[in-house]
Amino acid sequence: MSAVTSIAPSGVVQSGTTVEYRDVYRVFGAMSALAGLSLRIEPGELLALLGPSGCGKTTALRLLAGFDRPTSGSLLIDGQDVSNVPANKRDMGMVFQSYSLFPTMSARDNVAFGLRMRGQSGPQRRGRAVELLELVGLGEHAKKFPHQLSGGQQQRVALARALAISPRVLLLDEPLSALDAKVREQLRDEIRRLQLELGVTTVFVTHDQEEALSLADRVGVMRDGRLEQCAAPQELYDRPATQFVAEFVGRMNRLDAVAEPGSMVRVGTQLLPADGASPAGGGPIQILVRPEALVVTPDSNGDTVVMVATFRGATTRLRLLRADGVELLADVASHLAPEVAQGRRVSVSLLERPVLVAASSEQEVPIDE
Amino acid sequence: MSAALEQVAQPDATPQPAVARRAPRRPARGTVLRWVILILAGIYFVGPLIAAISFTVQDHVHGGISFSAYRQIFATPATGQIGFTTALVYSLELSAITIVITLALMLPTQLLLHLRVPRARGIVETLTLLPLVFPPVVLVVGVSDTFAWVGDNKGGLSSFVTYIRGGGHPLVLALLYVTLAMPFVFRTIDAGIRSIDARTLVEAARGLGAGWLTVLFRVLMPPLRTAIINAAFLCFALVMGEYTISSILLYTKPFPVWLYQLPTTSGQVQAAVSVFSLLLVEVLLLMIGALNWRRGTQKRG
Repeated sequence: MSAVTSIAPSGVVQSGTTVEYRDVYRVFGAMSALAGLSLRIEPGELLALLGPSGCGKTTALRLLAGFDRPTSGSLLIDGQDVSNVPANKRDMGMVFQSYSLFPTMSARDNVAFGLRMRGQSGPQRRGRAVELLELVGLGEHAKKFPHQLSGGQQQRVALARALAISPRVLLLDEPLSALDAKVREQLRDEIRRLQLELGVTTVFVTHDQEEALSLADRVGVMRDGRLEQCAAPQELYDRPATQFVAEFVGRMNRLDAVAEPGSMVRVGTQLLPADGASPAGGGPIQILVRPEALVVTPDSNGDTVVMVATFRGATTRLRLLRADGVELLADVASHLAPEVAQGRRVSVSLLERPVLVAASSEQEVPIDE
Repeated sequence: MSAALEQVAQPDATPQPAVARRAPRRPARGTVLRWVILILAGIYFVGPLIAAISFTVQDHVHGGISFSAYRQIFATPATGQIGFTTALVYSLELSAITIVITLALMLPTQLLLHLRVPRARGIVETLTLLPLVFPPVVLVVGVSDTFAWVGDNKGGLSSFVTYIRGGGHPLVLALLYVTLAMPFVFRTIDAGIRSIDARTLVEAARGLGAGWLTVLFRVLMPPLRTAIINAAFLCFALVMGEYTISSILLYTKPFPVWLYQLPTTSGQVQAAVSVFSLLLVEVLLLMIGALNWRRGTQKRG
């Protein structure tokens, strides 16, 4: 990705910054929160760190912010090692999950705080603060105190405060987790709009895969302090590099199959091409299939029964039970759902497209809703 | 339900009164209980005070009301004794010094415990409870013995002890009161810090470029104002009411000791002194409280 340059609201030209983790370890007693993280974030890129609780994503962010120091390895910003630079000298703008607005300051003073620390004069910083508040749609609320604002408004102020100092990197630590669904979606779009407008390199930490996939240029999936895969959302979804990524990002069905010559896979009577590494022909294997890649058709003689049908808006998720006891998940368009309602017999096939072959050493993971 | 609907659907049925008659509203059982408890508590706390005030203003000779008992408190002191103002100012100074030392010790300690060494919290909390375990008499006897031992050594420490024990300034008393106030102040400030998510505020401020002093004075102290003022209240009330330690260490200037040593045998004057000291402390506490409340509302406005 090439360097990004853009115009900030007050006409200040901002350039994106490169961030690099080089073999970073962070050890707490006997536990490694980060175990050799290596990652490069390009200028102007929005990278989401995704993973379950305790995977090390927040530790990675805190190290970058300067709130913690790596046990070993180095952190580079624009090629300079900042591992030992204190937080107040790093020029990072951070938005926390818990809003973190200074409770005795108005929204304007909160936004102006960082500018005050940089020695800007009163009128200058107040003007800039109001400008930033207008940018996040809160110009009229400048004089309100945090307790007079809703959760979404407080998080907007926190965003404006982080952006006011024209940060080299914008750090977002699960900023949407505490908000209700509608506000979360609005603010998510707003963050993306501002990030693109300002061209600021951004690291977004979340455990919500939908948030990560819809917002980021690239998503880094973490597990046990390691980066499992870092790729564009579509690639991550379509070609998960590991079993963990496949199971964590979206849902997967695990099906028995047989490897056939020529990188082909036989599933029941269907012969499909294998995606990625081709298995040796003739042996039993397992394949991973997304719920939307299953084709469910009503069939009174079918060997599969619909156990549960869950309406999810445009699609309905079916939990199916095959005669051999294998459970499957399938997504069907909701307008077709009445034909495959709960208790109906159906037959299941796979879409004619390449299928992922599961690594043989991996244990079976039960599918549950 | 259905009967009610039918009635609405038939406008010509039995005419209803223009205004529906409401059943007399009975107070909820809980409300009555609350009031009973409040009244009993009021009688328990205010009753003796009213009785004491009533006793002090009765003119037993001519009948009616007289404030002569209160006037005697402010009468010119006898030669060699200190007056009301001197004793009060001495105790106010003592309060101020105690508050400053207590907050200067407790605030940074608490912040360190919350932000940097949370594991040590249990140990420190236990230590702060010790003044409640040992009675003030034990504390003061220990201090006296220590002072005597230090005095025998005649070193630099001896000069220091002599200095802080000097009658002109109440440093030694203030240091003892800091110890006594520790259990209460520790918990008050602890509750305050817990209520503000101090760690995130510190990180937010540091991330925006603030140094540690700015973090302390601009970010943490303002939201902790109420906790700090409450801690100051506790110190103040403790100093204004403490008699044992100052009396055993032979300090006669503190207000409670002065009150006790008033040269009078009149029961009415002694009661007036008690009432007056109680009301004085209350008024001073209310003044500080009002200041806190006013600042709070100004900020919100």
